[in-house]
Amino acid sequence: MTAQTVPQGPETLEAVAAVVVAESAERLGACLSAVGRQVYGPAQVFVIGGGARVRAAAARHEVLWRPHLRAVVTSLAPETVFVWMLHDRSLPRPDALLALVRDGARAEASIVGSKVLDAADPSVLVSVGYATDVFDAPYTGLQPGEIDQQQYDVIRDVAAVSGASMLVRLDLLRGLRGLDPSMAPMAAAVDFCQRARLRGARVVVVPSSEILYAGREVSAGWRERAGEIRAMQKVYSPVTLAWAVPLAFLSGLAESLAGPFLGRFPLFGFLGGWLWNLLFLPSTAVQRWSARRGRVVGDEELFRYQTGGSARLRVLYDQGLERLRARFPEGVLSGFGDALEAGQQRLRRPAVVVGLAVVAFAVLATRDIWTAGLPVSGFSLPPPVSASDALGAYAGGWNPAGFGSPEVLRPEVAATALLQAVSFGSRGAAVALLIVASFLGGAIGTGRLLRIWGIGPVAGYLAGTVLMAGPAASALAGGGAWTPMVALGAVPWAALGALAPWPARWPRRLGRAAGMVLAAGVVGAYAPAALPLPAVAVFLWALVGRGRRWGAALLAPAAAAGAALLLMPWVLYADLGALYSGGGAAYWSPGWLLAVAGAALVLAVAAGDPAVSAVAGWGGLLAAGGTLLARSGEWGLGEEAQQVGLMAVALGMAVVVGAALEAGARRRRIGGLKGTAGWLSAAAAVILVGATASLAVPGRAGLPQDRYSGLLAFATAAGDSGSRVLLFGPHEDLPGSSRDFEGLGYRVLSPPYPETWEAHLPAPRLGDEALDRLLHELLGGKVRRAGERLAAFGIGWVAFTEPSPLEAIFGAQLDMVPLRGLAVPAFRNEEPAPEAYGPGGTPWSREGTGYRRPEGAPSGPVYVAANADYRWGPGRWSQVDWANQVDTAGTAVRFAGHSGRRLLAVGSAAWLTVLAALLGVGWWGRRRER
Amino acid sequence: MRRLLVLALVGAVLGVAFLLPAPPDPREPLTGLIIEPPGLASPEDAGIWYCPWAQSTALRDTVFGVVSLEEAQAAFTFPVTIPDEPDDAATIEVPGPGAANLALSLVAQRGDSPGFVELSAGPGAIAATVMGDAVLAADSCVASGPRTWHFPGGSTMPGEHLTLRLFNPFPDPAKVTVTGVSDIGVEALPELDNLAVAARSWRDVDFTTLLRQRQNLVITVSAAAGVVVPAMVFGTESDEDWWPGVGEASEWEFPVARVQGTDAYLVVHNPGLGPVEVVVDLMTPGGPVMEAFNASVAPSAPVRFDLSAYPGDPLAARLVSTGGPVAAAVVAKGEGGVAVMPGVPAASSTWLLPGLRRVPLHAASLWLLNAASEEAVSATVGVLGRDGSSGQTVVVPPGVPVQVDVTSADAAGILVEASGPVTVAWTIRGPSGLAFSAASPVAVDGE
Repeated sequence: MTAQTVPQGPETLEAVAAVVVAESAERLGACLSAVGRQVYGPAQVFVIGGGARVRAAAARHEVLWRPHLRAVVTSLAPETVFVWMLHDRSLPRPDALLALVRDGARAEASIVGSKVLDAADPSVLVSVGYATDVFDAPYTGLQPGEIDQQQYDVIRDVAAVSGASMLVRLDLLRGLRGLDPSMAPMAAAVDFCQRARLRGARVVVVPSSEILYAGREVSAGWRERAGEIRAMQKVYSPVTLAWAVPLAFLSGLAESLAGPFLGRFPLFGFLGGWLWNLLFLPSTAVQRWSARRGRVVGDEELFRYQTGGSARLRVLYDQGLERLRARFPEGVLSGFGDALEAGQQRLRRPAVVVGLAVVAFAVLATRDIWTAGLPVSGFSLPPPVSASDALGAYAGGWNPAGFGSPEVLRPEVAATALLQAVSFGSRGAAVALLIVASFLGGAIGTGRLLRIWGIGPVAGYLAGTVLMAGPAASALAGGGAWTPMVALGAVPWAALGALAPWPARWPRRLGRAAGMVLAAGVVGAYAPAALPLPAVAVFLWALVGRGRRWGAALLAPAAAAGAALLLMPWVLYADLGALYSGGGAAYWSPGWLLAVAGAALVLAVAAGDPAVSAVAGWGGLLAAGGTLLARSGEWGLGEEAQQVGLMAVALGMAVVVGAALEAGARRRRIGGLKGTAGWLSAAAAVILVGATASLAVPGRAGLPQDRYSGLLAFATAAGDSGSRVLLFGPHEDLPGSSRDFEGLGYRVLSPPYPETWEAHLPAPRLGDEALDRLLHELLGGKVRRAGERLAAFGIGWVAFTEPSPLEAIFGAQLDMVPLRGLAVPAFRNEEPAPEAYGPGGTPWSREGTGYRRPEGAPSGPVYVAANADYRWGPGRWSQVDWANQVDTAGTAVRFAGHSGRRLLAVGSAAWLTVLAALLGVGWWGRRRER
Repeated sequence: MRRLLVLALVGAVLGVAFLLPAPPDPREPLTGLIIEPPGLASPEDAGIWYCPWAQSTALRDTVFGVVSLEEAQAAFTFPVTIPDEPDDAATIEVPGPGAANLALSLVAQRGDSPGFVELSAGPGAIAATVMGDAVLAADSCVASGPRTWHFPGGSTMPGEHLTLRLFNPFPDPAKVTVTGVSDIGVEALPELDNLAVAARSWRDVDFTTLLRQRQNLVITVSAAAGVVVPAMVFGTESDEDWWPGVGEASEWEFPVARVQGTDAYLVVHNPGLGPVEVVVDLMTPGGPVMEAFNASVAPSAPVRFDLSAYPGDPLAARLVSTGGPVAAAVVAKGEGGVAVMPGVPAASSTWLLPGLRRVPLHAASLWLLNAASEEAVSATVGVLGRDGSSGQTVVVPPGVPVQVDVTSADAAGILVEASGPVTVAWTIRGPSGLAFSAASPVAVDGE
């Protein structure tokens, strides 16, 4: 009703007590007068809140004053059935209460609200009940300044009603202990209505009951925001909270960032709200227990009257659009708006929300890498500066690790160089792209893999985060190598290719096969020892799984074989024994989270339906097998075998988490003990998902802290002298692999830090043996001019990663100058020690894996301190002790290369091109089918 | 059933995994190796010898004597303290066995030029003899030494001068602490605490002005950081001598303690915390005088034994201390000459005497002492020169110092090979002054 009805004279409703929440004595009077004019007046009228003036005003109007709602409830007449709560800004029409009671009873509602109109212009709507978004921010659905034309005049269920006029059943009010006094008015109303709905109460708006409201009903202040966050925490289930709270934070952050562009500054409100909640967390926890204790419905009921996305962001968006419309002519933006609307529809789906959260997680977990660069430590080394040099070195060129060798480089060098080439040559971009893509790929791949067996996308994506950031992945990355993380991200795709239903048509079959081979190729390139892992995983599924199995068990090894062709020429020359047994002995010590995973496994197997149970069992078998492999140092297996084991554990754990979450989601369908087991397994899975935060916090994708970015910078502080650093330290402390000197590790490297192509030292050759002999001579006290001897190896610096008794030997040398004030003990060789020098000792500068003559330097014999190999040239080559001398008239010397290996590398590139083309065929085939 | 089987399989695999033992801890790096801290420890076969006292001016020059039992190249390096100036260097070839000399004036004439010599083969030894107007100072260069050096035998009475040279041949700056004790007790030398010696440089401390009128001054040098090679120069108006510092030992021998026409005294310093008992036997041409002196030497209170109580020249000595090691040196003063020589801590059957040669107008002699054995020892004294060696055999009775004069014009050094352990020293005496120097022992297997 929009016209004021003439009061017929007061009629007392025995069942209603009116409670006015007062802040201002001036406003109170008008409100109380309006209450007094009700057609059906309340039996009792109370005023709560306010100061002495409010109390005095209440006395003047001959109404009772109480300090708070609890005191009112104890003062109510026994026959009271309803409590009508109003604000002092509310001016109810004379029939407002009558409409609430009559129409509320008809709707069998426990909470009934009024239509709120603007007191300044009663034709303008303020609210007709509220929806909320998932973050409990109220949403009216009205346009600003919308005129009341009875377009909303229908009794309907809403998420919440305004505290400006709310009729509540007294028993419900008592049961819920009233509104939360610590919250702001609107948030308190939303919270109260949610708690009521959790108890099965109905909340409706009765538009026939009209209230005129003076002022703004909803504020965007920090108290309202704080109340919204508290309201969420009180009512949502743990699973919902696990994603809603972080999203609420991100949403608020986004609003804070976007707001200033529209003249709004919500940042302080945002920060204040979260800080307030941190402080009040204990009381929130107590109230949550009370709120959820008697619940009869779940979160689905709360979601029913919620809008998708963020109400606040929508308001910002609407404002922004308004401003744009004001600037641009009609029609230009309508298409944009439609597309955005379609996007918003998608955003309402939980899978999309979780998917976005996974993207945000991946970005957050790797933020240090794409902002500050890869941490340089252990085997976490950046690729070479020049992609073409790296490709040339891989394709039959010189392996520059240590004193060099013609030994084939690892395939990761070539794979990264290819990506670097398309990243405009930026190695930082290539690595960042690889790592972020591996995170995303691993998470999405796991989701796709699990979907084969009907496991939902939410469970699948969350399982994917466990794959890339769970305890096994943390151990893998914590070992100090980034390349296995890339391989890990590709493992689910390699398995997916074999296990997913085989396409019907040939184009898609070709694409699928190519995709499988490419995924397996990524695994093999970045963790060669793990190349068989997808095939083993598929085989294990064939043993314990259901449905199509054995065909996949044949496909997967074929894909691995096809992938091996991508790893030429490395795969032909690799020492497989050394690959699996090299480095430190495999011995992973898992933490308590493995036990949690075990519990999730057992419960999921017990509780799940046959499909989920089989998937969980498969994951368990993978994790168990991986654990065995990762602890098999006693059997002679080494570091890379441990990495493969950890990758298997990561995949297994992810599969178990996915199955456990799905078992939890299906618990209502299953019911009984199994349902409870399902819920418990989901709870265990949530713990594992939550544990991924520990990897995300540092932002380094689990990689150890940077150690070597600046540690050896002293060696290049005055420019690149072309000299090497001889670095001593415990093996596990040195970058890349190292040689052994009486139990102490050592290696030579090009400062300021080695790159990926120097990570793995080749088998010792003449130069390495000569250096070893020299070191033993030094130990025997037979050398006092070590600098002169080290200069022949191109070693201009000696450093230690930590204090060592060996420093005493270098400290006693006549031509080694100790450097003070550095982070590590270090000595400078007084003798000029370039890796390559020409006549007169003129140093030649490094160029890729070769050396170039400086401008103006005379040509002539060049001494190259690298392991002797006749292919150094161009010019007449001769061996000088263990090194090379090339008599050249040219300006550069380099390793001529192995033509056969170059051919194999080109063949691999051709095979890659074929696979990419087949992938394109598959994509085309898929589009055609659509 | 199927579920149970899968769980059982998982459990079994995990069980095996957790039953696997941890691999043994990796070996502790450098276990079992003894790595000596930086000090003066010359490699056995390619020695580096440090000559902290060498000068070449208009009035004096230094001759470096090099002996080697194997053909070797001796590379001399004299650091230059001017920044960015290259060091002065020279190389001489030494036949094996043989000897050669190098005059500093042929390399550098800039006053003080301490340096070091690298022998490409060995065993070998180097000595530096400074000769000129009113100076004849000689002693062996240093190949090895302790971290704490003692210089007994100093004195700053009127007419005497005493200078400590701190030579740092290494590229690492050093810090040393210099302390002193004398007849009046422990000397307060706060300005010599943590004294810095720049890399490849040296600095001198003049005790003549720092500690005047000390008759019995013992200086101790300890390296707090880095390594230094110290040397002491003691002189009178007519002569000076230099000597390297010594460590501590319980027995010291002085193959020559006094020569004809000189007064001599033996200075003993106890660096320990408690008193030690010292017994001195004197060796004379007529036989030994056992326990010629015995005394209790308190810590930081050096004792001087005046050898003039026993007439007869030459005189050798042997000192034994009980209760703790001591440092000891002999000082001989005569008309126109002064010589200081620290004791020899251990006997050997093979000795090298680099730089001992016939000098015009000077008498050069070597002294052999057989103090440890009751049997006579025969020793071959080989003259080493550019053309190899030639020698004579002498008998060294027990407790009697034996003098052998150097008469060969070809001598550039001497090699002594004895049938038993002896100690050897050499002297040069003449118009320039007087110099005593201990010979350099060659380690022989089994000794």
